[in-house]
Amino acid sequence: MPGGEATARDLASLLLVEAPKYVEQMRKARLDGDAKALRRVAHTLKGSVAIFGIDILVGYCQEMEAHAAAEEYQSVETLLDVIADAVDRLVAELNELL
Amino acid sequence: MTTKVLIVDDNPMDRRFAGACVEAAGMTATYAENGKDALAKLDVETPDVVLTDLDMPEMDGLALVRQLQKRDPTLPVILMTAKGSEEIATEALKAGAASYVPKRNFQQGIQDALNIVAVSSRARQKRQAVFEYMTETESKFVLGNNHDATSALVGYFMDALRMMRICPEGDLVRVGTALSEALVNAIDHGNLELNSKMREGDTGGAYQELGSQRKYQEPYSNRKVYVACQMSPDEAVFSIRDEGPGFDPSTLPDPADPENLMRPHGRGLMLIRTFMDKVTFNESGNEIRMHKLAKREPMP
Repeated sequence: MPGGEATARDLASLLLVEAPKYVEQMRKARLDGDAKALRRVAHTLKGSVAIFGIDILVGYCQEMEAHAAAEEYQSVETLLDVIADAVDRLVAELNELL
Repeated sequence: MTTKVLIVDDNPMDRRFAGACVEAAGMTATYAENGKDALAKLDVETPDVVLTDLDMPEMDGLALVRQLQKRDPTLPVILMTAKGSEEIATEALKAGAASYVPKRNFQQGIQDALNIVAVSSRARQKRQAVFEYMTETESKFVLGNNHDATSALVGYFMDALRMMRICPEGDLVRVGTALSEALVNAIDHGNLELNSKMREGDTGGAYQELGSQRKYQEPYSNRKVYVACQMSPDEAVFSIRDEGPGFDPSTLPDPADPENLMRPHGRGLMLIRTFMDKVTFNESGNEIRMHKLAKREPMP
């Protein structure tokens, strides 16, 4: 990690705040039927968790991008719940660490 | 003086990560959240390099590149590219961006791109009036395998291109970047036979370490890079030959296909082909020939 522990802590603090926001933005995009926004937010979350190598969540986001692009809303619903759970667990872990 | 880099990205984590990489390269980072914010920051202070994401709300990276071309075509812009942004990145390179770094290999790629662009940019500022009186020139150089020597040579060529009015100001850093990439290719992949696949995910510096060893090992250490340049009022022709084993030029990726922008290998060649007007190789693949046609702008 460039900048060592200080950067890692900064990034973790940002992830703690940003990740739940992305989940909310995805829920809103789903409600609005805005597949483009949904794909974009999933892409952003993917980039953020990839910095920490959280491969499972990266994989879920990749699937979300694909399903959003194809406008497969049934799969989007399922994945939204899966991602929301994973982000909840991530937030709990980050709260303990920081 | 420290190189100042303006980082433009709407994602706060990507912004902070890019900032840490820039600072780790010994440069100073300032930040903007999108293209519009970047233009406002540029009104207050001019950085040495702009590093921008492409997919942003308000004003995206392509629109920012176009605006900067109008405002200050000499300010180099490096794109941060992600999968899915290949076409827009290709457009932005055509519109005036100086280089690009894929986000998935960011930490490794950004240092090289910043060094090359910053060197080209600084070299541009060291002009010599003697070129003003030159109408035609032919020069030859023989280099060892040291990257430092390449920046002085690129600076020399950029001065000549500008003073002979072959290249408008806005194109100079891009042509300098292409020449730097070609010289680095000749040293690293030609003479030292370093495989660019080694760089993928290489955070421990294994690529650099092998390069440092081979500079002093035979047969690599005996090899030279031969550079020739001819400039006339109509064009500049550069040829760069190494003494490595070469490669089959027919296996090169198609530069017209935006998909190839994301390939971890061949990034330098992609830039060379975008910024030069004609690029050819000899049969054995150890010599590249690059043409830059004169494109004049009116005298001030």
